[in-house]
Amino acid sequence: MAWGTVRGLLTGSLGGESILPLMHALHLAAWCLALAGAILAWGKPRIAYGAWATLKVVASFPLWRSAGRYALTLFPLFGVGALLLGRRRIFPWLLLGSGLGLAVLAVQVAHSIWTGRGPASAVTVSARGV
Amino acid sequence: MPDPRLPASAGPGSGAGPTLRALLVDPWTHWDGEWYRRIAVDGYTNLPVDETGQRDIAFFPLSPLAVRSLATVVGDVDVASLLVSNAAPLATLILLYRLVRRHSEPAIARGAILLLAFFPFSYFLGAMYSESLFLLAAGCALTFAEQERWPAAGLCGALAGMTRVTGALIAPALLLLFWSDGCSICGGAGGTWHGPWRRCSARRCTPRISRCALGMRFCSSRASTSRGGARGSTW
Repeated sequence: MAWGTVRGLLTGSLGGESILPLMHALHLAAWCLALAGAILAWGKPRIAYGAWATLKVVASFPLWRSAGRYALTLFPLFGVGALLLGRRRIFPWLLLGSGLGLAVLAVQVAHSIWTGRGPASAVTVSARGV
Repeated sequence: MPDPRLPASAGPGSGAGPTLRALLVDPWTHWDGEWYRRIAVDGYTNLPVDETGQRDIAFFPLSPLAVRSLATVVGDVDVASLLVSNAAPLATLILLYRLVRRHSEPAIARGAILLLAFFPFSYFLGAMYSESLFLLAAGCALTFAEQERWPAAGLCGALAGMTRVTGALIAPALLLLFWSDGCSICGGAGGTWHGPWRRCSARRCTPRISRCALGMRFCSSRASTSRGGARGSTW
């Protein structure tokens, strides 16, 4: 089912459902980043962090449309990210871009724009697995 | 049964200061937040709310419980939820800094908390969602585990499990931390896979207890705690 959703996203159709492709693409990117981070986290510094991250990322794949939320809770990955990128020149720019993304998404959510349908009720959106 | 001390399902935009509320509170309490607010006010009903058949039992109890408790003090469920949701990430950032700092230098630890704070999806930490409490509980569990305070780690892990469905996944992580702990007798091999039934490989170590059954670790962790739980691994 999840694969079908991914295929639908890539082909631009999700069963005729109105979607916001950018939002789904962001979640998909978050899931891929989380998976990469989880693999890199094995043994850095403890094997448990990598195992926990990998378990969570794999378990969250069926709900990849909320992958950003799942990636957010994997905070050992942020240590790995800082280790890999913290000393590079790109790091401040990465933070800037990330902060801008945060601002855009925060405004979007505060205005109830989530899946391209505009303001929605709790039930409607929750039913979509968000 | 609804708690009579709580405002009965104060809807969005209602109550004192509707403009301020509409600006600061309402945008962060919708969607799943609506479910948590409903549970905090009315408790679990296990009744389908519409034709989709969704029920509130899909939402875990720690967040609404915390909100309900705080709401009896501040008098407003939404404000209480936002207080919980915003205070927990602040504590989490401190925990993350300390956790990374144990294994790395301060610049890396600062980078880690900046990455978390500016992560594009971090807006969930300011909303009436369970992510912020989960992060706090999981962070406490891992921090206590690093300090070899296993009962506290287990308790916080259980709290994480009461927050989100994936919270239970922290149990294997805690078990791995428990088993991969450095040798508590010689202090060596910290952060490496030590195995539950293996002897410490350090030459200078002559373990008095070599089997790593559950009882052994309780015995040995006291010795390592007295060392301060120093670890040689780096992040």
